[in-house]
Amino acid sequence: MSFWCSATGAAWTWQWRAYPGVWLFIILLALGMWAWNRAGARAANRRTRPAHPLFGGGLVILWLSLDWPIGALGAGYLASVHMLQFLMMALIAPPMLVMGPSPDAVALLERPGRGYAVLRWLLSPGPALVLFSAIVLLTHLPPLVDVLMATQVGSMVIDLLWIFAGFIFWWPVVRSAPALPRFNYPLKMGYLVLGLMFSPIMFGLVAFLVYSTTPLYGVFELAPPLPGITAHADHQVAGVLMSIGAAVVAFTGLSVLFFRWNKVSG
Amino acid sequence: MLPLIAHRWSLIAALVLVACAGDGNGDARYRGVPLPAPMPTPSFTLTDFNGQPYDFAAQTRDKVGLLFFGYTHCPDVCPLHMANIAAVLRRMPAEDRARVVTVFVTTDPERDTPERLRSWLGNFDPTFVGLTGSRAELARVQQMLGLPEAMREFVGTDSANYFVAHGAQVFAFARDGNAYTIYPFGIRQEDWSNDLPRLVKASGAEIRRDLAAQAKSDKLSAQAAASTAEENAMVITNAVVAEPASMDEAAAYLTFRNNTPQEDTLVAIAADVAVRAEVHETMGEGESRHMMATATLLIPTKKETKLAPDGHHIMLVQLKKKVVAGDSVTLYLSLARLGAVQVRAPVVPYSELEKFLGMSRKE
Repeated sequence: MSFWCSATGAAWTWQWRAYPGVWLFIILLALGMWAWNRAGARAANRRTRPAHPLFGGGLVILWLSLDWPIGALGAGYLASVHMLQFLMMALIAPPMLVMGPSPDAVALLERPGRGYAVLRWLLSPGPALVLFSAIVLLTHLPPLVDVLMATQVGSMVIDLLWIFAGFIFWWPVVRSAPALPRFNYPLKMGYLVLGLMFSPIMFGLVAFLVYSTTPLYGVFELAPPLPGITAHADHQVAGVLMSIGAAVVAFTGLSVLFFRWNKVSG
Repeated sequence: MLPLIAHRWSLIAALVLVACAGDGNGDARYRGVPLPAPMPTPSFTLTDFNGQPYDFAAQTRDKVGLLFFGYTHCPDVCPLHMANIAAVLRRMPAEDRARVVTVFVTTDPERDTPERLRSWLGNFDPTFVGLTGSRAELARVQQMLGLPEAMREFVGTDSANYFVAHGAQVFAFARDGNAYTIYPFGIRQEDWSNDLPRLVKASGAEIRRDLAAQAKSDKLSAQAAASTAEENAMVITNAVVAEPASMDEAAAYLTFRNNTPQEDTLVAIAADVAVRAEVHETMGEGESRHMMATATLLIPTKKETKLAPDGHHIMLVQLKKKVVAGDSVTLYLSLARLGAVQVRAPVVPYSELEKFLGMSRKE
C-alpha cells in the first residue's frame, strides 16, 4: 500500500488502490480549519462558527484530485491528468478553501508579532502573485517534475506546493482581511487577469506543452502507455487544459467579482 | 501593453523550459550507450508477418537497422520503444526515414501470431517489420546479440497469462553494418531525435570518431573532477575470474559501488577471452539450484551491488582460449548512464577467490 500517489512504472489497471496519506491529509485539513475557527472564536469570546459550506466543497475537490483514480493517473501516467490535478488543486479548490476561516479566525491574523506580519505579507496581492507564479513555474520544470514524481514524498511536495500556492493566490481575491482597503474590486479583477489569463508563466508553459516536438516530461513519456493516446498528444492536451482551464476559472472569478462589485456599488 | 509584456515574459519562461528540457537536436554527443566494441550485423533469417523469410543483414544493408526483441503483450517497454521510434521517424524527412528499418523480433512466438504482429506493429508504423520463428531459432538469434534467452514468467496458475523477461535494449546497426550504440529502456524521443538522423547520415568511420571523442571527453571530465571522484563516482572493485574447470565457460565477479546520485543499469558485457558474456543469477538451493540469465542488472544509487558466488555473477561463455590462474581477463561493461567501461580481472584458483579482494577501478 502506498501512502501517496506517485509514478510506479507499473502498468495501469482500473483496480482501486488505497492511499491513506491522502485521507489523513484531508482529515488534518478539516481539523486544522476547525481548530483555527475555534481559536478565533475563543479570542473573540464568541461561539465557534462552523466553516463555510464551500470549504467542504473545496475539501471534496482536493480529495478527488489527490486520490485514486485521478491522483494515480496524474502522478504516473498522463500529463493531461497531472494538469487536471493542478487546475483542481491550485485554481478550483483553493477559492473554496479560503472561505473556511470565520471572520473571528481571520481577525487573528491582525495580531502583532513577526510571524503574523509574515503571514499578512504572504497573503497580500503582490507577494502572493509572485510566489504563485514562481511555484507554478518551478513545479512544471521538467527535470524537477521527473525527479519528484518518481517518489511518494516528491509527488506530495508538488501537490502541497500547488495547494499552498493556490491558497495564497486566492486569499486577497476572496477575503478582505487582513485589511487591504486599496485592493478594490477593479484591482482584484486585474489581479486575476494577470495571474491566470495574461500570466507569462502560463503562456510559456502552454506554448511549450502544445508546440514542443518531443514530450516534455520523461516521467509521463516513459510511463506504461494507456491505449488511445500517444505521449505527445497527451502533453498537448495538458497544454490545452491549462490554457482553457485557467481561462474558465478566471472568467468565473471575474464574473463573481463583477456582480459583487455591482451589488456593493449599486 | 499588457499582452506585449506578457509575451516578453512568456518568451523568458519558455526559454527556461527549453533550457531544462532540451529538444534533442544539435547535441554533439550520442545519447545511446556506446558498445565496448563494434558489433557486426548478425546473420539470421526469420519469418516475417507475411510468412516470408526475412534476411536481416540483407534487408538492412546500407541502412540503419533498429533491432528489438519484445512481445506484443508487453505492458510497457515494448510499446514505449516502438511508439518513441515511430514518433521520431514521423518527424524525419522522407528520404532519411526510408533509410531506417525497424525490426521487432518476438520473444513470445506462441501468442504473437503473424496477424497479431502485423496489427500491433501497424498501430505504431506500417513500415515496422515483425519477425517470428521457432523457440530454438529465436534463442539462437538472441544469443548472437549477447542476450539471454527470453523467459516466460507465469502469473498464477493460468498457463496463458504470463510476462516475458527479455532484453530491453534496441540495437542500432549503422549503415556500415556495425552497431556502435544500443538504446536501453529509458531512452526518450529527444534522444532518438538526436541520434537517428546522425546514424542515417554518418559513415562508420565518422561514428567511431565521434564516439572516441566522446569517450575522451568523458575521461577528461572524470579527471577534472578527481578531487571528488570517489564521493560521486561509480567504483568497480574486486574484479576477479575464477579459474575454470573446463574450456566452455568461466565465472567472473566484481563489485559496483555506486556513489553517483542516480541508479545505473548494466546493459551489456563482453570479454576478450569469450565469445559472449552474460549476467547470471544463482537461484534455488540444493538439488533445485540453477542459474538463470538476466538481460540487465540494475545498480541502485548509493549502494553496493556485488556480483559474487551464489548470487548474480558474470558468465563468460564459449571461451576462445584456455584460461589459467595468473592470466588476466579484460571485461567490457556497458552501463546505461556511465557508458563503456573496461575492467581488468585476474584469474585465480576458485579456492583462493576470497583472498583476492581490494583491486579497485574508479569511474
